[in-house]
Amino acid sequence: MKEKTKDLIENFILFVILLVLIQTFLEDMAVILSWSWGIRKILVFTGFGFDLFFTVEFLTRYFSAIKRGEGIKYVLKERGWIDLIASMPLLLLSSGPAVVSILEGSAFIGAAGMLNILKVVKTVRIARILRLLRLLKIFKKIKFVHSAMAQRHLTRIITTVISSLVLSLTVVSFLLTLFHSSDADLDFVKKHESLISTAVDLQDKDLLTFYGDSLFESQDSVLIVRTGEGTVYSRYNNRHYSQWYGPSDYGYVRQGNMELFYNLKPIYVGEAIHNLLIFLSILLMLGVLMLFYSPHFAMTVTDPVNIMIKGFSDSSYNLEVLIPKDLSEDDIFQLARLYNEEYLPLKARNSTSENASNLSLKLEDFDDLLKG
Amino acid sequence: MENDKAKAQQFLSRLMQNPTMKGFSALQREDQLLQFFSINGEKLKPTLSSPAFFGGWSWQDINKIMIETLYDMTNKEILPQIQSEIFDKTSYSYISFMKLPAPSESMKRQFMAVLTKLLTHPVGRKQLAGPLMAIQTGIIKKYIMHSFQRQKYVHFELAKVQRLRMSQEEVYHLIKTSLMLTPLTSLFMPGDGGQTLTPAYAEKISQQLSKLIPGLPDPVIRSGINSSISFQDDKKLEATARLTTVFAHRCADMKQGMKIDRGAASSDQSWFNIARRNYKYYGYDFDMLTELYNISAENGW
Repeated sequence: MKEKTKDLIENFILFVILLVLIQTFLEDMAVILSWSWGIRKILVFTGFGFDLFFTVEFLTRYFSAIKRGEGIKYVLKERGWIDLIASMPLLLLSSGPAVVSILEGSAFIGAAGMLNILKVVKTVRIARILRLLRLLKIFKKIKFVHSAMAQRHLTRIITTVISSLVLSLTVVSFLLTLFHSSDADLDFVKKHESLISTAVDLQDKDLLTFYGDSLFESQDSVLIVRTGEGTVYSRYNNRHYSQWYGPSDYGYVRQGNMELFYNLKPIYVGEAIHNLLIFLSILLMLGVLMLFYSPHFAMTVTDPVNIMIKGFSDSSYNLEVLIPKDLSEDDIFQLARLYNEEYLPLKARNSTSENASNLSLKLEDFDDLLKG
Repeated sequence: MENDKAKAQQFLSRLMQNPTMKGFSALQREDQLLQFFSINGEKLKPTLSSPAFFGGWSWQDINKIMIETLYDMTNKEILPQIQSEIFDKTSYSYISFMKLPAPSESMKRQFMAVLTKLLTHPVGRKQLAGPLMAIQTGIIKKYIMHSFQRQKYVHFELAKVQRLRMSQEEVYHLIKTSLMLTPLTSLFMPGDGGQTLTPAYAEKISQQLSKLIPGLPDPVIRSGINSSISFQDDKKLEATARLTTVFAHRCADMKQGMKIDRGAASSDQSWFNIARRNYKYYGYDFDMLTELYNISAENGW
């Protein structure tokens, strides 16, 4: 009963991992395809829910492992470290701040400077790459090959390749964001700073009413311009903003009593394409490893080993290992050659000698009959 | 007595239902169960001596009824098969190609009688397992067909050296007869059988067997009996005798429907290759094995 419940929970977790991968994909697609704020908000909240779920899952596993005196074993050998970095950092650095920003309605507005705000926003988005490590959680749970050795080797290879890629991308992106602002981002922010300077000049010369609209209209990213007297320009009506824009979609610049709100979505689209590219590259890499490396490993390592194990343990099994010509010098096939050429002929002679037994029946198979 | 046999049958049926018995012929299954009883006798004793089975019986009597029942169960399966092979499925037309008088219906009855006698002989039963399996699986026909198509060593030995001027169909039936004759050596030999014969002793057995099956021509009987002679001892051994011994041994432990694991050579291919390495030990013809090995490898058998 306990085992059944455990299996049920494990299968549920597997299902949630699959859901979160779909959610990760959709979250980026929503940015690229400019889905409505309502949908994007749902995706942000579900992302937060998943991160919270995996954080609780990690903590439960970790503390129950500690209870059994196997905390280190869980973290290091049972790949608990993947559970850790694919849960808590995401909750604290990505979905947590995103949810707070939605709830507060103006999380990024009012920070020191727009470039710093962008850095924070980008950091939050970069942390999302870590979510891709959850793909590894699937491989931790699925037994995709029968041999324990093959399973361990393939999981190790997949874990090494993907975690090093994801972690290096995350760390490098973090460092780049902290110490270097991209020229495009800088230009984007400066463009709006110079735009507001021009607008203030026009205001000072009382020309804003004449030239303001054409000035703001010429810049696609400008959304709203406000002065002390009220809104002087708005690209869309309020209904449109509430339907398509969230708090973190607005860039903000102020000079004197003039405020300019501009659209940050084009910057996010670049980020989302970048994340999606990584996501798809990792999926492709996994597919290649599964489709090409996994059978290669089975054919060149586990299959010959399994045939030899059967030959050694089953008296009636006498199939030879097929040795590919181009791999005949591999250690495993050198061993297989000895098995084919020395052991099997010896076994055949032994099986026909006097007192030899080639019995396939085992007494243990008839426990019920013998007890009855 | 019938009630006792029913109990023994119930116990044996349960053992026969074990998945490891799948793919074995009736005689192979019988051999497995005899080995099982011999190895695990002490552990089976408490169950079989219980009131549910044979309470109050001596172990010797229990053993006897179990073996008798086992033989009965096997005979029920194989006797109709042997009968059908001798009377219906085997064509003796090859005899006329050997320029010998055609066999009479009584020859078939004589042949059947000797084989029935063989079934009372524990060693004979064991020796019959391979030949019967070879006939049942059709292994001979497919290899003979390919040998005739290839026209290489096996065909040369059959057609040119042994001078069998007949079609592959007749050769097939000749080897089939030869296969049914080969276990009959155990009727004339002490011990547990399986050992190779000297050419002189084989000749004596052939002569004695001729008296039991007078309707069957001597060259045919010799082809069956000489299959127990090592090719290393007699390089002039008939090709049919050499093929008979290879197929009888090949099928002795053969398990039908055996799953070929990925990365493993096929069943026949493995067996012929191993046999090539042991050819001196078993007295096989190496070149013959090589050709059969090549046929099996080419066809994935």
